[in-house]
Amino acid sequence: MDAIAFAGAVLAWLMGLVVGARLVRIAAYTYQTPELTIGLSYVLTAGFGFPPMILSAEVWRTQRDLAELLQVFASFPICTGLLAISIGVWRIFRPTRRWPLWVVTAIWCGTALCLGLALGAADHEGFRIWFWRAVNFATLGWLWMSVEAFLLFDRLRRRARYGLANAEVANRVLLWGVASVAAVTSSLLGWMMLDLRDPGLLFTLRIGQSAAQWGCVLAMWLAFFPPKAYRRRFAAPAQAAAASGA
Amino acid sequence: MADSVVFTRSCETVARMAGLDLVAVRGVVRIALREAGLQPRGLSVPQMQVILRRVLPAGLRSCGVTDPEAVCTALEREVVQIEDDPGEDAVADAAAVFERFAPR
Repeated sequence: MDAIAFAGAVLAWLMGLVVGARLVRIAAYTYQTPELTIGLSYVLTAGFGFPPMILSAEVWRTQRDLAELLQVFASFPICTGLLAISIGVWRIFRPTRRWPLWVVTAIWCGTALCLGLALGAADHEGFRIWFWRAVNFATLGWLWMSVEAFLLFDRLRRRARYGLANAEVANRVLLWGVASVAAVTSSLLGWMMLDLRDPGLLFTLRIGQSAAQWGCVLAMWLAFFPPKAYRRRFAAPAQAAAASGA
Repeated sequence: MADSVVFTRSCETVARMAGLDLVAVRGVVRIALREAGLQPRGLSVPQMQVILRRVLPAGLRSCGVTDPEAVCTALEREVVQIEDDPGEDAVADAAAVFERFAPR
């Protein structure tokens, strides 16, 4: 079980890094905000934030000072990356609306406040509580992303039925929503496990977190590196829709 | 934001041809658009043609129109004359972002 969980965490880290780098590369020639913010988010969160967070969780009970130092190191790329997601969500799904600016501002301010309180805490317990509040606050951006992705998928799925949208793109949006939910779930479960003593419950949550990480990896792989057999599923309906005179 | 010209003109034409109340027709057409993932804002002529061929007849039949296919066919002849200026289509714009993420 530990090997499977560790493999899932490593793959989630690698997938985040690869996808993030790819999106940043796309942004280099499109000059568009969505791919830049989402790409940077993945690179910062997965590339620089995950490894020290994973290590911190492993040594939390035996070397508290080291674990805390690792969390301090991880906090800035993780929180910055998660905050970049909220900007990406705004620019992708609601670019002409003004209310998302308030949501982004609230997430940024809440995260910054919690992080400041964590760094100024008098003891380990204070640091840990406020650090995880900062991470959970920033994770709201992922939650928002998943809601918007599922709403967009519903519209695109309906359009694709009548040949008015690309079914493969609709599927990519769905996978993005699934990956976002999995990322939020993994983060929340990691936070819940920190204080648990019950080995049975800890084991169950660890399975849940591992499943969420593997789910995230699978969804991202299918969204960004789909095998030909998977892509063929969408080619046949598209041809049928075109033939029906849509 | 205002509804597209295609939506407004189509509703007026259906109400006139089918002898139905304009408010009721706007509701029926909105439901048809929602069924296909579309909205009155940002509705284009090609999109409206698909709605007329494949979605709206069922909605008009449920309103008591006896020959909805004929109404929709006649409407389509008028719709294609409209100068297409759909305005913002937020769904298509968001989908275009995910299109850029496509594997090479």
